[in-house]
Amino acid sequence: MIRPSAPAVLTLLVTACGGGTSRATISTAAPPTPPPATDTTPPAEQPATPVTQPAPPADTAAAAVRDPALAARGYTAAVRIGARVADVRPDPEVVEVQVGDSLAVGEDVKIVAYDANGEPVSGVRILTSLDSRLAVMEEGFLRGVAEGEAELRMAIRAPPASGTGPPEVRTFSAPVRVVGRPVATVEIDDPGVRFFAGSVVGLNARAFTAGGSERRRVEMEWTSNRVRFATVDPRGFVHALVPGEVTITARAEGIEAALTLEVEANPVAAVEVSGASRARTGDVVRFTAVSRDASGAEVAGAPTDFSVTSFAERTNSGASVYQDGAFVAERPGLYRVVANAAGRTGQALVEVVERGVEHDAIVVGRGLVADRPSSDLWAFTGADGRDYVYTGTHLGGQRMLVWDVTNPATPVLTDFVEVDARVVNDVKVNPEGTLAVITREGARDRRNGIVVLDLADPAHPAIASTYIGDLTGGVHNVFFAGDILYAIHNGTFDVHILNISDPGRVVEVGRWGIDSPGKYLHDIWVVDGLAYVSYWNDGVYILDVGDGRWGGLPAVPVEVSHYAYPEGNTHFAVPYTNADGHRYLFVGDEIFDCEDCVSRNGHPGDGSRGFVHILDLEDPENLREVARYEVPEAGAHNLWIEDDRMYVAYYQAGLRVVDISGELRGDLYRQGREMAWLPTGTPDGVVPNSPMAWGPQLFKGNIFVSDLNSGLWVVRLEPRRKVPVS
Amino acid sequence: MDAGLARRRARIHGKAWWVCPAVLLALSALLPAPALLAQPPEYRLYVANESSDLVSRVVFIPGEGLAVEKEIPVGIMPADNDGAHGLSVSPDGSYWYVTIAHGTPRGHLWKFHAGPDTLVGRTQLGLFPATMGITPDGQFLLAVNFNLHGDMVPSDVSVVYTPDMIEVTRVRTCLMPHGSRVGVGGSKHYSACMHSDRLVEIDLETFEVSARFDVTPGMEGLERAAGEGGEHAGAGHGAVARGAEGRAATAAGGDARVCSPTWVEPGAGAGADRVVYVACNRNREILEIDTERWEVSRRFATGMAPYNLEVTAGGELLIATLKGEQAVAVFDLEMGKELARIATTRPVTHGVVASPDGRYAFVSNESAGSVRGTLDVIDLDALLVVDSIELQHQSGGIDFHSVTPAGGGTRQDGDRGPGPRNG
Repeated sequence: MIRPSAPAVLTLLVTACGGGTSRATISTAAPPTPPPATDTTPPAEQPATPVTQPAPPADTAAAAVRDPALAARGYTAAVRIGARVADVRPDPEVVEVQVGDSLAVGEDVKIVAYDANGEPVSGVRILTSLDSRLAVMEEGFLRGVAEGEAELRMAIRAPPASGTGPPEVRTFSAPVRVVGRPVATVEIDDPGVRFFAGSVVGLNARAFTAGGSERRRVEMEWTSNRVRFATVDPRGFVHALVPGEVTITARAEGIEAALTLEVEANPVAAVEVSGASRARTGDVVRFTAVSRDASGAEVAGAPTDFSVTSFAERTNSGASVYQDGAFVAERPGLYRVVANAAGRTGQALVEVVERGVEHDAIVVGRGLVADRPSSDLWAFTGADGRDYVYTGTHLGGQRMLVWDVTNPATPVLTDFVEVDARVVNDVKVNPEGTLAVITREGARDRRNGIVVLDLADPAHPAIASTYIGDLTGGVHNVFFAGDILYAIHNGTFDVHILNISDPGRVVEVGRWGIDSPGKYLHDIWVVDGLAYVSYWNDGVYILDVGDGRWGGLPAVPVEVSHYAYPEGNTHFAVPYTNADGHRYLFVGDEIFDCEDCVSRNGHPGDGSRGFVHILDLEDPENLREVARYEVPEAGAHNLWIEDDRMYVAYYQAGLRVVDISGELRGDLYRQGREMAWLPTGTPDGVVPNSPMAWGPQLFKGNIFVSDLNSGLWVVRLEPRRKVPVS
Repeated sequence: MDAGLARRRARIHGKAWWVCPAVLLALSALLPAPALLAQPPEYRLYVANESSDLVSRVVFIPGEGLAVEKEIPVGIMPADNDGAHGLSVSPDGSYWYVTIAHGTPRGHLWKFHAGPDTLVGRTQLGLFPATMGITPDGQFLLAVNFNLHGDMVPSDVSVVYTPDMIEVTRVRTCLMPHGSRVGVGGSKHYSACMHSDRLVEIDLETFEVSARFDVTPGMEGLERAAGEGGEHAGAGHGAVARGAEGRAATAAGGDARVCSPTWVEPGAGAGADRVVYVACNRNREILEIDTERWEVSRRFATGMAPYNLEVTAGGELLIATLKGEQAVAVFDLEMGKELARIATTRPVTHGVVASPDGRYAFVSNESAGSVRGTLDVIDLDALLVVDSIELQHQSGGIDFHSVTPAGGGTRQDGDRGPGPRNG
């Protein structure tokens, strides 16, 4: 630690005057030296055996004569032998473990060191590590968790090339394949079309384990029994050639499914395409294609696919059409939609105009918070008939702030509630406006939990109780559902279910969580008996907590489905049914530490990214991602949806308001659906001029937004008036 | 004057008075006299502020006081608390390491160049990585994965090869491992198990547990059947619920049946590689454990919730932070006696490190809520707080970096941070 300009001199000084040596002096006075040898017995060769051999035996002395590195003094025998190691590999070299199974390291899997000649080397100590969402190493066992490939790391110590100084660590790695449980059944989905000669139809096959779980990463092999009539490619696309009966087989791990189909002569003579001829950007236009034979009769079941081209000269895209005929454009222009049915085509033109939903975001009022960062908010009408917003505080915050926003132009800070915490991340008020719950993180004794507030006087809420229970690790978010409060616990990463009917005596009545080694839980939202649980890299889970269709109860959740996507970091999920009856789940991910994350303070990844994934929620058991809203340069955070508008606190990108009316497909950001945005930075914020929008809520026509760096904003939307150019 | 104090001062200074003239004479040929005689030393150290995700680099110059030279942001989530918890400086002073404890869910280890304070590398560890110990050659860093919240399951010690910042293995130890220190000789690592009431020794040649010592009051002794995990310990002793960190701070009285060790500190000087000191957080005592005979050789009664420990480089003094008492206790190890109980400036007294010359102890105080933490300087001769400075939120992990002659050290004027905030 001491770094004197003249080390020897300072060492002498400290030793003599200080009456003792210091750690710093010891380490800096001389170059690092090898640790003392704990075993000076010359080791002997032994047959290759698994990991962590005991101290090596006798005849390594002879090897040491041959290899100067082995003769290096001061190293333990195991380290000296490490000099001979050229490679470390598992045996068997391809480590494969099934999900849910374990391999004993040293028995089922041996870790072996080899010299440059490929001969096993004994007597070297091999360290191993493996920590992945797919597999873990626990107490000498390698356990498969989820399908995929993990990395097993192996390390040995050896003298450095120079022959002096501390041993070097050399690392090796090997893949560990985690495979699913064996395939028990394979099913080929009914394509719902006929196979006309000349058509190309994609088939989909799915493999299932004996337990009924779908194996998503299994390799499927496709074959045709009569390639003269039809072939099938490795992706499952059937190329119908000439009429005749063909059996297509899908095979996974030796388990097969077969689909017998009849290739028919192609009767299609023409294809008629119909759909709206005019639309706005972002509107989903449904095109249909009707195939007709030479007589004009409709041909049922013709395989049809769609494509789109643009007439624009400057760009050749700007619109998409999906295989179900859904067309959506990002840019205005004239587009040609083509339907292909067994080689015959039809087309239609569609003209797309600007969506024209732009609004201006007008700042109505502000409640500056500059002495500490702000977090979540909740707006409500109190028992006294006045309107309030409660906001949390973060990163050294300790308070929930109470704002009277009856006059939204002048939020008045009426009071604050101070608790033992350094983060009050979440604030929720029950629908009756009688109770609030604030979450605690960073308590002085590391025992966090929640605080229940009595809102009899909403301008001056009183602490009714503090509940810790098993929630010591801190609570990040909560949600009210009647007398039940769902709490997200940082320690167990489970949903803790609390009965809060007696605010002075909160009782835990249930708990629910997934079984995943790297699980991390972030948020929950409950609507109409279904809970939407954001489980970070494990995706979003839908639970029946009283809906009843799946047998769930408020304190006994039943999993309905879950959906994970490659981006991970799922932190927020809210369902919404829009005025046209489309039901979606809006899922936000909060991504830090990514390659594209812009650094704010000099460290990699200190920025945020992520977007809003939009899942089709018509069938809660079968979630499909159909659209997204992605501001490219920022990261999504909390959102609020009402009246077919989505309000997104988009961190660095401020408040965003998005039109989510009608059917949704594609990227809403690029479709002109963004109605307004407001950068919520301010020169007098905690971090000046740095928007970091945290959470929005529409309340009585105004949008209330909390910003990490600047506190509370009140915003109103007004249609943008286009000023004529004179 | 207390007889022990007088003797200790005599030991520290008395020898200096007759040795130093000769030494200084010899040095005079090597160093310009003014540089040695006229300028006070600069003591430099780093402190992690867990709830601000900032690391403070602080300099202390006797006679001038404390100053924050720089605040280094750590963590990746500006909108969340990553939790900079433990901090350790490499033995050669070239690097410092901070554990980013909170994780999603796993925490990380960050490595910085000391001085420029630029990030060198990172690696993922386990759940709530906390304190670290580093081998004398700087090659291996061992971080305890505290895993203090949620269901109690055995946790482990992560072993990181620092040149490549690779976690090479994890050693399963016990429930809630905390405190992580490498013995002076570099052959053994020690950690305490808050929820298992164990002291665990790891052999740094094999990276395997080489001893488990039961620190349950009245049952102290080497655990012969070294069943891994130690998770049975609580049940086996019919112990009361073992508290989370700091629970003892609110306890009205000590718990005679539970040690709940929060720290282990190897002896130095004559005690090097012979004894270790274990802070029994709930039982309000510090155990001196002879690691050759594996027995408790002495006990030191303390105030409420002894938490972190430090032994001065020569092995003369043992300094304990009393987390529940807003104080530091200083023990003379030769006399086996508490010399002083010194109040600190803010509550939740956390970490302590002594300067290598044995002159000063630097103590971090977490404080609570939105009140910032502080760093106190204790003069180990006067046994008084001689200076204090406000840092950021929840000042905790602390380590000493260097002592340099003023003007000849590592600090550059342009490198100064926001400067003193308090005093």
